[in-house]
Amino acid sequence: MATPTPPTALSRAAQRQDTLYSIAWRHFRRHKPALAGTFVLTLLVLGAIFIPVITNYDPGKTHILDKYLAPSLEHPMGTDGLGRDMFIRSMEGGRISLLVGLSAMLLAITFGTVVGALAGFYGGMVDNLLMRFADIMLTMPTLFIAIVLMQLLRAGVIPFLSAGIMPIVIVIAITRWMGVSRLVRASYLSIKQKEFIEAARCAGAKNWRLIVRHILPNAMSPIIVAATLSVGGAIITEAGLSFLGMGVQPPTPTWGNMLRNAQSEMDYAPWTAIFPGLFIFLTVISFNYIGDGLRDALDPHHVE
Amino acid sequence: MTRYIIRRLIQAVPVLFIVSIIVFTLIQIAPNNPLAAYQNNPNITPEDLLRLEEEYGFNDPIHIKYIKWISQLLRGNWGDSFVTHRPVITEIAERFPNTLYLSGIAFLLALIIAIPIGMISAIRQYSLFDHIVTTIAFMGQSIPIFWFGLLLIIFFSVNMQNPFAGTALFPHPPPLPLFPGGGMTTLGEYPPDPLVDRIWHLVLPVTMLAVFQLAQHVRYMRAGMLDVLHQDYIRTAHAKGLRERAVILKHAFKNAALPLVTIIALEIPSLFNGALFTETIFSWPGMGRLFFNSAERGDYTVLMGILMISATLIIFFNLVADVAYAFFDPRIRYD
Repeated sequence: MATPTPPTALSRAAQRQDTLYSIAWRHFRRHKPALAGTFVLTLLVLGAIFIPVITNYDPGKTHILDKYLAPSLEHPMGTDGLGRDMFIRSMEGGRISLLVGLSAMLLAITFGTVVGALAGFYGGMVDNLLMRFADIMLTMPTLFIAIVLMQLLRAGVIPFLSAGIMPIVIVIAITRWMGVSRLVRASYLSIKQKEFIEAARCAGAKNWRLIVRHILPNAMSPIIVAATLSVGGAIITEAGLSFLGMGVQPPTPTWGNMLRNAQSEMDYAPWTAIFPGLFIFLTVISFNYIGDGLRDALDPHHVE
Repeated sequence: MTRYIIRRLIQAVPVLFIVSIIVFTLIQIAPNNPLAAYQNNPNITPEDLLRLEEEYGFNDPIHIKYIKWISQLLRGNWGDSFVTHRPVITEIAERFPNTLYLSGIAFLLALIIAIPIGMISAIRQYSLFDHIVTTIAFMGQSIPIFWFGLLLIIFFSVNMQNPFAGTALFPHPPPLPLFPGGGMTTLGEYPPDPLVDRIWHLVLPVTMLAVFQLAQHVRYMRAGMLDVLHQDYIRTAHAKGLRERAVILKHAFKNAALPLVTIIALEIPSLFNGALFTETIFSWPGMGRLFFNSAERGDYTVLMGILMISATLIIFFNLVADVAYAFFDPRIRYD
């Protein structure tokens, strides 16, 4: 008489239908700072989306009699030189800063992935040409090139690209794609040697299909980590350029250009300098911890 | 090795050439006019402006301007600033010492503090000390550096008074801030002793600059050390009865510092570029400000000078990093 065998780790795993991403999620949940980062970031995003709506915020409206009020129950983060509530304004600024950070990341990652994939897959001349191009980009001092490019785009030389947040998104992407392209190239170089690629080729898969459907999903982990980490970098760059007066222009608030005004007001209204920066810091550290957690979770050497 | 270095140096020439073309074109497309400052000057008529524009060759096509510029450069002439009318080299030579003085001190300080902290953190991995160090290093890498500078001014310059105001050390009568919020030296009455004055003005900007580098160096030193501590030769050193101290300093440190050496070589060019944010916040007349102000005025000879020197330094120190790597780790061979 056969007794039912106790479930082994293997059969349990089989029952749960583990995918790479469900395993990754189990690891990610154990990374406490990454979870905290996800939580803080969710709050910030919700706040940035809804608080300006709920409070009927009008960015152009000023209340000159309420200028430089210290933080109180009514204005939890005080008011600025035009009497505008710092908390609501920070949330409104957060919309722009987060939007710039995410769009710049998407653009940089997409471009970097395309360049890296082509270079790694085709090798030879294509590889040489694309990677020398990346090298040349890396030879230019980033911040200085960003300043020159911002001036160029904002002046409207290329009409379509000069409106709103477009210039800053493009400039950040131009100065940040090179790292990603090197990473993706390395993945493609190693994955294209694998047997399953050989098999797919024998089955008649064309090059573009190999690049997009067969190799890309297997090269995704480092791209996801790099994407997460580069949002933080993009947000800091946006804030930095806006702080210097080269980024998004007032009256559109961003965390960076709010700090620019605050520089001259610190002596009597320090809250105007403290809070916008605090939001940048919280956002960036959240993205960095999430990236850290994803790196651990998506590491193939890390499987149970 | 020598052949490798020579080959890399030869490769650098076309790269610099391409960089100069790209950067020159970008600057020229931007509609900046270095003569804009004269437009509001009543002593200069519109006819004068047109004549100046013609004289400076502003209306030439970009490639003609570029050929003029590069042929002068190849003869060792960097051109004159359109705003101050002084040679570009003079402008740079005047600002560079200020930048080197500020960034250099921050750089050395960050290094001297980071090495022992990173090492101890790795040796006592998962201890309370390690947790605190890694958390602070992580924060240091996520903090927007310009905001950190503003916080330093709020806390140490706006809110704290100098307890020595009115004494021999700081003759200025109170109220005097604990540390000044800008400048390189005290202007006006009651200057302190020159040496004291310089150090006093350095404290906040150096702190601001050092924090980010410190965070980064600690992380590299710790990672390098952790890597090495798990190697067989460390176990061998322990097994043959060497004291912990000897194992760490003689066997582990040299190998663990390797990644840091590379990072340091790659960071040196940024000492030239200056720390634009620090210079902006603390009104420090350095290279970063020179570049920024020139960019605002469209003073392209100065911009090109700074960008080309930066690019050359970046290429050169990339090579230094690779060579240093092979020098310190004989397992690495270039051919």
